[in-house]
Amino acid sequence: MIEIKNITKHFDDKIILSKISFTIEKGSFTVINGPSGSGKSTLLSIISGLARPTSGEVLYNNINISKLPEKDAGIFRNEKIGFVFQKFNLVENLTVYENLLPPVIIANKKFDKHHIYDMLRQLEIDSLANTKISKLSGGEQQRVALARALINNPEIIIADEPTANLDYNLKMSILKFFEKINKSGKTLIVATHDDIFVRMKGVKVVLMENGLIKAIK
Amino acid sequence: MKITKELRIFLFALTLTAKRKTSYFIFLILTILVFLISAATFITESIKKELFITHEELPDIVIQKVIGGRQQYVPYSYVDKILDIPGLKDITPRVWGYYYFDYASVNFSIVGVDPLEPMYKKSLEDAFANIDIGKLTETEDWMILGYGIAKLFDEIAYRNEAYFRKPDGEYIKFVPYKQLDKKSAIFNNDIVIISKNAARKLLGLEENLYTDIAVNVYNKNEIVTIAAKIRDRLKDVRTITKKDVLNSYQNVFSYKTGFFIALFGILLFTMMVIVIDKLSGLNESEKTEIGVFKTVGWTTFDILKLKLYESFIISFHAFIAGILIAMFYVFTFKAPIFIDMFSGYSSLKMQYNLIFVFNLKIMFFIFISVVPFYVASVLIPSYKIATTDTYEVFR
Amino acid sequence: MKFISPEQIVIYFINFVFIFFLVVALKISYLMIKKFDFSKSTSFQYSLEKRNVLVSTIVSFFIFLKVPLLFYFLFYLDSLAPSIPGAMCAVGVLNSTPYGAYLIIVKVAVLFMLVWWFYINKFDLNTYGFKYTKLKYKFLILISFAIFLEFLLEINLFNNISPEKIVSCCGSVFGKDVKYFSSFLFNLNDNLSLLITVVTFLLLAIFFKTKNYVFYGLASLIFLIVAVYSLIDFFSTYIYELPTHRCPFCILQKDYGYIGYVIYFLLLTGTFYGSSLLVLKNILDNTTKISWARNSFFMIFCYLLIVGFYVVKYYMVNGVWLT
Repeated sequence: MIEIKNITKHFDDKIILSKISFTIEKGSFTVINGPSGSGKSTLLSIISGLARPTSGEVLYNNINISKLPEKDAGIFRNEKIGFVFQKFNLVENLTVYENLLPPVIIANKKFDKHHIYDMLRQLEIDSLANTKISKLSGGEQQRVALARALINNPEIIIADEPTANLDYNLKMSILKFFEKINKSGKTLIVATHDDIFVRMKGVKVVLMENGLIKAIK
Repeated sequence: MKITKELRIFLFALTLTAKRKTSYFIFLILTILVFLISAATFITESIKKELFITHEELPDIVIQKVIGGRQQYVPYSYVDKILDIPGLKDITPRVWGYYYFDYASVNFSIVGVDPLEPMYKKSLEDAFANIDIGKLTETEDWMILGYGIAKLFDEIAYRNEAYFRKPDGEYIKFVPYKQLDKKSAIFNNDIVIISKNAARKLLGLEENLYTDIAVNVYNKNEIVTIAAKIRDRLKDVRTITKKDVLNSYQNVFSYKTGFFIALFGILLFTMMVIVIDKLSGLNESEKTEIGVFKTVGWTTFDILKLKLYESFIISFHAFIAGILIAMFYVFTFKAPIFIDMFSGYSSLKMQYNLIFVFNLKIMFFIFISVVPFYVASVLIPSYKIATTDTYEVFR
Repeated sequence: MKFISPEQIVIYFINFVFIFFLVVALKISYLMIKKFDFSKSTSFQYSLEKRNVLVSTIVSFFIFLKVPLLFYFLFYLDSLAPSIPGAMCAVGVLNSTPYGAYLIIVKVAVLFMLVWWFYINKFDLNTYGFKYTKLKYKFLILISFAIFLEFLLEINLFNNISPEKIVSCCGSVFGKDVKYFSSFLFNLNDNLSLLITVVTFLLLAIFFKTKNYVFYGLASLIFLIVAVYSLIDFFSTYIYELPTHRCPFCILQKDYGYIGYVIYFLLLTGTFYGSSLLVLKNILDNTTKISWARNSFFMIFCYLLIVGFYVVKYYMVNGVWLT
């Protein structure tokens, strides 16, 4: 369970987030909806411990994420969170296999390359393991990005505008994928201005505007 | 556990380095730098070693007769005059000189030797090893050729005999008796050893005249005192001690040091500017790369380590490559062009070899004179990269 | 005559690099002490936190360089020895000027302080809110001045090395003659220095057993000093197997199997860990203290085993003690 309590974020004199509070249950599907510039991305980076709030706190199972030293916040992200980004953010020069390395090599557990191949097999891209990212199609790149998010078997998946610039088929495939892993017990937090997520069933929608919560549905 | 994590970061750095274009550019710059510095070091060390070896060969004191600033031949009577100075081990009047061989535009050292007398240098003694001395005393037209000269004569087909021109224009014939091997080339590369009498004829020396006198003493600490005593007795001579010769070499070297400072400074400065410039240009994809690494759990220090490992990998390869190329350049190809910058030395000696020298001290010197500066120049760019904001990955 | 050699030029160039980074670090230190405030969320505060990373990188770079540089320095002085009448190793060269002995002490002290700083910084970064930030930057200013002092001494040393002046070397420096080195090495007689070393070691053992880490730290600092004395005065003669050869540097040479590097590594890291228990007593956590004390004691013990081995070996072979 993640409790977001009274998060306020200033940057110099600019107010980016103001008194944000809500709770994310384990295994739930939360959509943070709002136009760009409403503070969604900043909120995601505070939840994941990448940025610290000016005041307020984020509690994960009663651990204060906002007060972790950088090293521990890193371990938290590495073990508990998987990220999916807009445009996938893959390293173009590297192969599919090599793109899955960053979360694995930094983890505090034994390195096992079969684990990476298993992950690729689950997403049906194991035949592309040694292909450069720049030679892949959009759909294939999307799967690599998902594989990277899931590689350390995280409890929480955070996605930032996962459907932006995607065609309808890819949008639907990612939507279905999210539904599938949500059913398998993972907590999903998606920041988006795309209505496709809002229309989903059983989803908690947090509506944001100008750094404030307008409504929670 | 922790060590394997470091190793994994290192191996990942290896993958990243190999796939980055800037790596190859920096590798090239760095290799050139290492090459230049190590070539300069190899040449100096090699010449130093040669000096050290030849220095051992020098007589303690050489006596030259000088009138009006010009060197004159020394009469034998000078030997008698200094004979009773206490502490002298041996006195050898020498007959030697240079012979200009215009066919190949080179100077030979002509050394006149009486095979029955004791040799004044160890390298000469070695030259006469395994030779039937009795045979040499029968004739006067024998010669023993240094390695370099033997090769030259072979090229111009002077195989069975050679003709040398006397000062009066007539030619005398010599028959090669032995060729010295390559090992002795440090001392005897350009030498032609002939009999004392033949040398007199060739160099135009009259009977009883000598080029100079070589003196060795028992107590090496007394060299300066004995040299002063000699000058006191023979008013018109100059004495050259072992140390004087070494000092004159040393002077050339400290003059060369100035050259080294200039070269070193310019090289380092250029390298640092190029490296900083290349590394500071952080493009968009690299920024998102760093952002992604941070979101998956890397700390700023992990990324910093990654960047420094990348630099280390490049510099390590450049270090090895630079040294290897320099070794081939200096010791196999005899350092063309570069050697001219050290020509201060060659003005003292006509020809020289570059003896192979390679030791820990040289490695350490090259390492210390390149690596710290390279690391210093990647430090600030790497820090900037590692502290890049992660906002780039969220949009 | 002034000596100028390529080695020296390289050392000077490296010193320039050091000074450049020191100035950067000093400027940041000033800002940190004046302006660092974790509770603020301004872009200036964020940039200060980033500069924390820069300074710790600079200090790591210094440590990374200082260690090989120290050996390089001794190596270079060793190679100068033949040009200086009377000098047989680095001691003779150092002893040819009044600055040498102080320079070596400052060099070791700077290295110790840098590594202490490194650890303070490491613990600082692992706290939320960077608790020790102001403390560590005050300490850094002190270190900077020590490094400037080191450079001044180094320049003076190089300028005063003279190939004409006859100097005395290790044999006599640490013997009866009182010269630069021995002027502050008050003359200890062989057995006394050995006795003090053994007594200090016993104290270390007691403090180690009773987990009295503050006193352990103090004792290990004392041990470093007395160990160097006894090494020069007593143990080195057994390593060289010559009653008159007392020298802390010749053991670094090839003739003695480079044993000096092992000896100094054990002695310096052992006493470093030990003294950290005193210097960093408020910063280290308990598990670190216990493991460092164990490391320290183990290394010091190994050190004594090695130097003691030479004494026993000599006695076994020759059947007599050196006097």
